[in-house]
Amino acid sequence: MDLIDIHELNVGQRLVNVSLNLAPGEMLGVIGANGAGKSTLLHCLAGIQAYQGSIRLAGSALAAIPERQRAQQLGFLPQSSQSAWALSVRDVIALGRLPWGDSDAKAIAQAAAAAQVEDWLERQVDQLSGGQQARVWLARVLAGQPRVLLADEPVASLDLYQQQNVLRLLRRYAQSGRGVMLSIHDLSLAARYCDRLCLLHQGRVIAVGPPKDVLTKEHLQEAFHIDVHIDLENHPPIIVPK
Amino acid sequence: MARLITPALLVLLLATTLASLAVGSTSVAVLPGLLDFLGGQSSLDAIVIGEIRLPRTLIALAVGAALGLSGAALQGLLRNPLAEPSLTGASQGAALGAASVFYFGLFPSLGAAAPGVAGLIGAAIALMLMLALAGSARSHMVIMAGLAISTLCGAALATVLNFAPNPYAMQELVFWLLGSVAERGLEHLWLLLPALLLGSALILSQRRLLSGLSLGDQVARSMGLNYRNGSIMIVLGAAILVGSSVAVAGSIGFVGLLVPHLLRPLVRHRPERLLIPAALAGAMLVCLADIGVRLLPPGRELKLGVLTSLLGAPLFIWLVWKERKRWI
Repeated sequence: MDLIDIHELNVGQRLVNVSLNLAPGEMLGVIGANGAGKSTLLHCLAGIQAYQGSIRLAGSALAAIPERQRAQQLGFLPQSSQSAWALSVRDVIALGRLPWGDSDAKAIAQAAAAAQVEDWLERQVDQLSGGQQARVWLARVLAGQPRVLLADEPVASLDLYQQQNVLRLLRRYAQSGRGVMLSIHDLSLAARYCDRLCLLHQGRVIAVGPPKDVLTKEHLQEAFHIDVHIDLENHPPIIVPK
Repeated sequence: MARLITPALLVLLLATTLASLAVGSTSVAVLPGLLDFLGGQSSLDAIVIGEIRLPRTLIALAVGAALGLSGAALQGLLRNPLAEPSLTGASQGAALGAASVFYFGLFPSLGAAAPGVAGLIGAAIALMLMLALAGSARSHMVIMAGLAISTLCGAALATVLNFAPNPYAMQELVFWLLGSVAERGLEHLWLLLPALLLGSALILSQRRLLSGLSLGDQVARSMGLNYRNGSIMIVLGAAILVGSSVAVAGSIGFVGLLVPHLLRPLVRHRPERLLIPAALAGAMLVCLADIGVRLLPPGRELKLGVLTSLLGAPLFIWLVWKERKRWI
């Protein structure tokens, strides 16, 4: 059974008749131009955006699942995070346990280890660099051990090394039998790390499938209005504007 | 350290309470007097302690706790260390309600409790107007609507002062507005206590929301927390606390702003852990300030609200200075 099954999802003009699924063990990249509806789609799944249509989480209707149980199953990493207070890294990660109402030390330690933030657990999060903070926000979501991890542009503000680090981590997370759905702007990284891609344009799905089926000249011309050079045989894959 | 803060504050609070019962113009034996009063005997000590100092002390504690708790809750909700209880408009509403008593002579049958009752009604009306105007509990809308209603109540209050029937009424009103817990009886406490319990219960029920809101409302909502209802509960709770304390004791500035600010590092900056310590420290601070007022040389009494502002403002300047150094 699919972890997530979206059918005819509509949010005003921002998402129009979007149908999509996410299988266990899969990492799905949502791509598209700015304003194409990537964040809106993730927000619907995260429970912070009202929608019309049907979303099923492991077979049950998302709307019928109590909010707290939904939050235990779906972890959401927003595009930009910020802590209003000078919390310690440990306390930020522990916030990931809020949906469970516990402070499971093992889950927190595992999350810190996976995101490689264990060395700064007692430091205040606002004193870390942007890249370090990004790993702490990710560790917060990992601590909740959600079945589906939703990440809105998790690598947007990271350097090349950190981009690779975060995407490898998400990939490992997906391969453990859970699912990851992320929005991403870098098409080369998307082709390299995602099992399947979903290309959105003005709220509609243009193409869904393996990178080689989605990342075609015609699709990218339609979505981004540019001519691109595509070489998916290369390792790593290359997709650059001409 | 973070675990010890509440017990430590409780011990300090108890000591402050006993000191407050012991300080006054006549010297009385505190514990025997208290025991006599509780036992229903009417010795001189029992009368001084039970009728004068106990109500004054308990009201100072309750007002301080209300201000400290509501400050901590609003700062957590609005994610702004400069948020303060009067932001909801409730304190100006309470002041206007109480001022109307002095001006129009409302509720004559209630006697000394009349300003308190009218203040509570004023706070409730201001609060309902604010929530209706804000439409949602989004933090910037609460701040804007609170400011608008505060300004409206402030203008009405100025009008009342402008047309005061006689200089004495005006003087009484102005002194009352300066904030004091002197000459209050147990009837004021009965007004304050239910509000303190209700307001605290509303705020404390939303600890998880405050915790989740550290990372913003999107994250809080994605973690299954009900941001809309929860924030209305917090605003409501804070307004009940502030409204009732202003209604009974006039406006006592800076407590709600400074207490959470000072305690935050001691609870590792966690907004939900700040609530109880802020209530205890607020209670202690107002009680200490009131002891200070009583220890000043006899003559014209320095009002409690004036003292807290005189002490609080320099402290606030110091905090701003410290913050500035972090960024330069």
